[in-house]
Amino acid sequence: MLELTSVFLFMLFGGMAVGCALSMIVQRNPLYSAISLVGVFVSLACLYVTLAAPFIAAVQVIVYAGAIMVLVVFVIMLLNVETEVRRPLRLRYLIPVAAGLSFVLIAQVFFMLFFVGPVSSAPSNVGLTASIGAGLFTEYILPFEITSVLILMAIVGAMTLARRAADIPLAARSADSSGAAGSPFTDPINDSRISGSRPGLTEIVGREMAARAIERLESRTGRGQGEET
Amino acid sequence: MLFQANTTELFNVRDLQLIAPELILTVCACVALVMEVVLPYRKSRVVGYFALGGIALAAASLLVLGWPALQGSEEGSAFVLSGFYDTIRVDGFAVVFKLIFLVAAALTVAISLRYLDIEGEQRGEYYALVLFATTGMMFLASGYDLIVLYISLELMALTFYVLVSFTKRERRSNEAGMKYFLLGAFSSGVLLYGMSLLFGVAGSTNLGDIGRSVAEAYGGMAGGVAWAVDIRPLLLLGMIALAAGLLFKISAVPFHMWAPDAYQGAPTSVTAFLSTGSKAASFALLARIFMEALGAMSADWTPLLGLIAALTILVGNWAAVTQVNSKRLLAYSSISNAGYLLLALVAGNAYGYTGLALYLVVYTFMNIGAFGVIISLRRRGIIGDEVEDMLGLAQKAPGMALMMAIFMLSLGGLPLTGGFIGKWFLFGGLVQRGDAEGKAWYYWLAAWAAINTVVSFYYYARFIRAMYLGEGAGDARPLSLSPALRTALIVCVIGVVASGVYPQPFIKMAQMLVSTLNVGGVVALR
Repeated sequence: MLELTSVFLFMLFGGMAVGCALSMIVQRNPLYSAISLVGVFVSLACLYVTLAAPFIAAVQVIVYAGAIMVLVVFVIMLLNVETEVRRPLRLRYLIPVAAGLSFVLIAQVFFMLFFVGPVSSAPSNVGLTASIGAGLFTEYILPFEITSVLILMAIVGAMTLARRAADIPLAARSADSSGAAGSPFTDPINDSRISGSRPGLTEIVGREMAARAIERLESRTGRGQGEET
Repeated sequence: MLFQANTTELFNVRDLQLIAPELILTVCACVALVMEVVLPYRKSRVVGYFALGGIALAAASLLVLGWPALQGSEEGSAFVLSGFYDTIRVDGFAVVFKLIFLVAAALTVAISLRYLDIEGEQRGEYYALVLFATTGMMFLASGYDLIVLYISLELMALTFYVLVSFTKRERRSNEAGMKYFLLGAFSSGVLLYGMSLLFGVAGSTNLGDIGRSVAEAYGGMAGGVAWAVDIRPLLLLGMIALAAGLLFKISAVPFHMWAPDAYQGAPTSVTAFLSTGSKAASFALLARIFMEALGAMSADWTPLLGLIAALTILVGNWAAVTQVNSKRLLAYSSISNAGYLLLALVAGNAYGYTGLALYLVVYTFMNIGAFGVIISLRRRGIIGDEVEDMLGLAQKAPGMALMMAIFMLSLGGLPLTGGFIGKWFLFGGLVQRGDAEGKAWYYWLAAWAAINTVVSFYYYARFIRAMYLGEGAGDARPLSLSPALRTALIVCVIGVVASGVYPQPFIKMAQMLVSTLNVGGVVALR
């Protein structure tokens, strides 16, 4: 009976995972694709529960279905992508590579099925929340604590980089104590010695993006004015 | 029943004293962050002085903790303190490296104080980030567990990604940060893959356990045991992945592409820290993993590292010849120095490892010193990082020119400077290994390194020629000097000259490192 139940549950969640994965590829709207990917993650988490690994299931839901997918959805909504634009395949030469890789994957599955015998189903405490907690607070307490420093540092670093550069008034910058008296502050961006140098990758990409944005803006405002008049 | 008595002791509270320097640095970094918010604008420099105080405090606690290690091992037994379930070890190796990091951090803060004002980026977060990076490096030196090592490596690397792009208004800096971040994240992935393979073989993340498993496997291989022979490709793959990840961090040759861009684009003070502290920490990790965990398979990795060292020395030195930007030139010089330092691992004996520690100490002084002089050339509206900017420096500021000349000669390895002593030990270790094993390629490698050193004199001398023989000063404006920068430069000069003229105390300290490292497993101590 238990055997039958577990087979049924595996079929159910496995089918859900495969169905959602197919839907993710087939959907034209990126947002729907993202939601389908959430479905894949959730059904995988259910599979982990049936394998008696509740902690991994919870992590799967929290990290993948929660945090990462929210980020993906945010990016999709920020970019305002309505539907996928079908372009001629530039990476056509990768198709045989993909076929080869999928063949390797299938071969691995069959290798597991036919050459590696079934693992003993004796219950183990690996992956249980209690054993992970115990390990985290005894044997691995030092890496755990260093991770907290790492996260603090990452937050500070992200804030430092993301904060707007112009929050320091220019007057304050040029007025502070300086050895070179009487020299006006020159903005490093507009410094002739820098702008005379070879443009870097970021600069080229940045210029291109700016040009495109201006173009878009102009076309939009042009159209708007056209409608008004 | 909810509040069951907790009988498990999480960790031994006395272990906390093992990480006292790191704790002090972390607390100081947090206080620095608060100070930045509380203090009014233009007072951020105070945070820098506070950071210097924190570093001094950490150094004091480290000296108290590691005093037995620095006293020498007359009793013959190595000084090792282990704690937190053997995830960290404070031994001579760790103490020596931690001292190097603290010196590098202090000098970096000192040369940054004025420079950040000029860049218009005087913000307290900078000093907090430097302290965080130092914390990561120090854990890296004493970590004895792959997880601790990886997390502290990431702590250091992530901080450096932010620091490299700290001058946000500079496009170069943004570009450098982006490149460094992408390549660094990739290399971390490769490193992690190698670590997971080692874990798969040993079933433990403890370096000692891994070392025993690897030794057992190689012992079995010699006897032709089937499982041991089967496991060899796995170990080799793990070793190569680890080496690739770590060689990226030290900017050795096939993985050196990021270094010139990152070094040139980063704020000069960060470049100084990146080329000394980060490199020393990565070498600590490399030496720790390869000696303690993979010591038994040294016959496999010695030729590999030897080849990479030879390539690194060649490419670093020859690419530096044509550079016109001094930061970029010093970046290539730093690549070639990574090659020299790799020779210590190739030699694998006590002599070579003494050279590793010695050269890293001297390298810290001379490199931060050189970047300090370049910083003094950065004034409002003048970048000052081209070699041409040094023209006529000897007339304008004879003292600075003399110091720069000393740093350059030491980088080249002229006798009576610290650089010579370091290279002497590094090359000597190779020759000794060749004697011990009777293999000629060790001699050839040492000769190769020595020949390329001669090339390096050419480009180091370009600075000296520009300063002393250059016609027409680059500009007449005074250098931007501050008491802190002056002090840092004088400390650097004293370090370089003292270690060259009277190297005994330095050698004695470097030998403390060797006394605890598992060197005996490779070649008997002489």
